[in-house]
Amino acid sequence: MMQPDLNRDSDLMTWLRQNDPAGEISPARLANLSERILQKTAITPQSEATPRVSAAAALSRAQNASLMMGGLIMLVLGLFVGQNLPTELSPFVAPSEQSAALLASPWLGALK
Amino acid sequence: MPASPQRTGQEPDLPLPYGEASDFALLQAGARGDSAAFSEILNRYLKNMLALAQRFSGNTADADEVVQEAFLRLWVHAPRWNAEGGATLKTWLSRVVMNLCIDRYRLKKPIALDDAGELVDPAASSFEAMQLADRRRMVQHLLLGLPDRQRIAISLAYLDEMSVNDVAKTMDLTAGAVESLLVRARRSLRKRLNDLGLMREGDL
Repeated sequence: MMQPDLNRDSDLMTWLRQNDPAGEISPARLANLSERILQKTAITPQSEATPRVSAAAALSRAQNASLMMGGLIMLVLGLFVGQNLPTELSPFVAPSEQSAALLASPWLGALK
Repeated sequence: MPASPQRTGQEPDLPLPYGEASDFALLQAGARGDSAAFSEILNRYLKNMLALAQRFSGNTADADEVVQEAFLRLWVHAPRWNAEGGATLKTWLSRVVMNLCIDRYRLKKPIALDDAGELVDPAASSFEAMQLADRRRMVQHLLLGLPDRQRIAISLAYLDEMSVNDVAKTMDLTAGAVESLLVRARRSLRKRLNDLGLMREGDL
């Protein structure tokens, strides 16, 4: 066999390849390891696949979120307005007095 | 919960009906718990991965453990395999083996030539076979003396005959960086061969 010149890249590569320390892995070792891996897979659970969200489901979620946000805004506004209504506005006050009080309130004053 | 895998009873080295299937199709079948499909993946890549781990670790027991762990990770993640992710199965597996080897041997020092592992084939008795076994031990010793990334680059590019681009994908480097690693690895190997007095003609 011709002596390789290891100063040449191609010869060095060939020499390494010819003397690969893992060059001869016996079939028996491969079969044994393969068997061990398959035995382990038989008792190892796989991860769940990433769930795919359909466009309809995504739209439905967005609509629900919008509705919830709208409801929240209405609730806050209702509380704010309720707190600022004149105290005279009560079901126990006569309708004529109620109308007068309502007309005097800053809320309807702005509409005049 | 995915179906639990069913064993087929087929030997891993026997021809399987999945021989023509793509890696991705096999992974999809594996993700459904088809152990015969996973066995075909083992047929395709186990030897390469074992060789990579063996060159890195220098001993068979550690290499077996690393490779076993890598394939179990593949089994666990098979349902999430993304074919559009860009990585081929070989580069993905090589990367997992590489990282497991680095993690495992990070603190280990290069071992002496006499301790570089027994690579003699017990069946070989001829003088040539003994010489080959000696040269393999020496190459193993030389590889173990290289820094981790140089060792992996040499192993993938020269011994596994991967293209520089595939090595770059596996190592998460640019092709230029891989070329640079290979240049330094060759220089280092030559220096060590020279130190051992093996660069002269007739010494090999």
